[in-house]
Amino acid sequence: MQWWCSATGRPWTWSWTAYPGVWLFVLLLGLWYWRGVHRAGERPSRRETTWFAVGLVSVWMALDWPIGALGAGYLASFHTITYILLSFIAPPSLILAVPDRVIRQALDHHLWGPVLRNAARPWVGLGAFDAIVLLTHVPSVIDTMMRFQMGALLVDLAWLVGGFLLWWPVMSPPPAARINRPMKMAYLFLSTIAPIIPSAFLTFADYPLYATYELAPRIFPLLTAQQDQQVAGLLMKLIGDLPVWFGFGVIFFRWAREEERHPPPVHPDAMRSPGVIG
Amino acid sequence: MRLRPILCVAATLLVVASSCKPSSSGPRVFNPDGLTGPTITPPVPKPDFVLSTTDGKPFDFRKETAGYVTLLFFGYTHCPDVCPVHMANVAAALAKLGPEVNGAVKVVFVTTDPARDTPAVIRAWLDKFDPRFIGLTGDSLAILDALKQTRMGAPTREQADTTYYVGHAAFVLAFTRDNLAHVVYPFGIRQADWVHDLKLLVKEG
Repeated sequence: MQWWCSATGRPWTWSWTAYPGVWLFVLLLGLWYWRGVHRAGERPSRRETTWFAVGLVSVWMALDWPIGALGAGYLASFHTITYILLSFIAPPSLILAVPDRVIRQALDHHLWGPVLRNAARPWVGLGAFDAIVLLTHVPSVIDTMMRFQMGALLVDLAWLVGGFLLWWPVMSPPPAARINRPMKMAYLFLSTIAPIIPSAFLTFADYPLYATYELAPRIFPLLTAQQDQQVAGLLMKLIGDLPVWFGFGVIFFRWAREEERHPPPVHPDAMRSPGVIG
Repeated sequence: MRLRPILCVAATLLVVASSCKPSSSGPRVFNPDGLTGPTITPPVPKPDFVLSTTDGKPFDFRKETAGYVTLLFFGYTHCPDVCPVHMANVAAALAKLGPEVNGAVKVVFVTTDPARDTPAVIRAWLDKFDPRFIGLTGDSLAILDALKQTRMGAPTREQADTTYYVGHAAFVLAFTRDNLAHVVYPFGIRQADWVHDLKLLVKEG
């Protein structure tokens, strides 16, 4: 039995397949959250519970049958859906699910505190995310890793960790936060640049880049390996960027709303009428 | 007796010349250097068989493919893995190559599952890849004879739940104009490899 989705080369069937490793991973993630929240004596709000459900379901959908299985060994487009779910949907949802008090306690923790504070530095988040995105789209890396369950697990974990590192600098609460709102917006904009490279290669390459997907048993006879790859490239840029631009918009409108409520103090010189100056 | 060394030198020069200037006229010596597909030693002679096309017409393989680079593949349309990938990759490669290569290559698919692969089924399946691909069928003995001539084993039937699979050789034989297959393409050959090799096969073969 397979415990994690990987490329097997076996013909695809639409009959459900169990991946116990994925269930265990999702269960452990849920237990970790529950334990952390209860240890802090917190009761998550309905909003936080909803975000947690969104995050956990995203992880589960990305890794389990059918999306995880199709992405691991059959279709590059589904591999990109896994990437989007693990890097852009699950991490911000799970960060939003953690009550502020729990995060503050984690920041004071002797082990997690320094990690979380350092990870909130924008160059750490952006550098790590870009490196992960670029490395995990190199054809030889994917063709090697996806053949093994452990390799596929590492790629999936890299995307999840990369997603957390990407979102943490813009979503961490004040004690850890190191950048102001305009910087956050600039950071999010910069985060959309590195994925352009693999996305462009996927979309415009003359040949299928990954042997894993080119030589995989076909799922949809009318979808060629190259078309599948082009869909992957377009999904990566057009859909993968949406959560980032959504985050950009949230920061911008919150900033604008606060400016409206509490306008910045006006310099006394600006109060003088032209007549007085003249 | 003295003629022998002279002939040897002449033959060597001919090989060198043909590899440097493959389009030159005169007798061709196939030089498989630089091909991605593994070479076969000794080369497989082009089989001599007659099967039926999807139109129901007889197809004399040797006669109909004479003068062409011919890719011969034995498979079946219900094949869940190797056959559609091979056909799709050859079709994609040909689509990237110009008319010079396309006009010099014939792709022949022979079914190893004549019970299910009726001419209409084969035609519909091949049309998904390239309508120019030639589909052949016939009685089991005739197909078995064609397989034997190409040194391939007999197909095996593997029963699954509600269907059956046919075990067959997973490679494509590439016959050049000398009526020999010097090179074979196992499963795993990619589109870029096909583009590279088809150009060479047409040029050299």
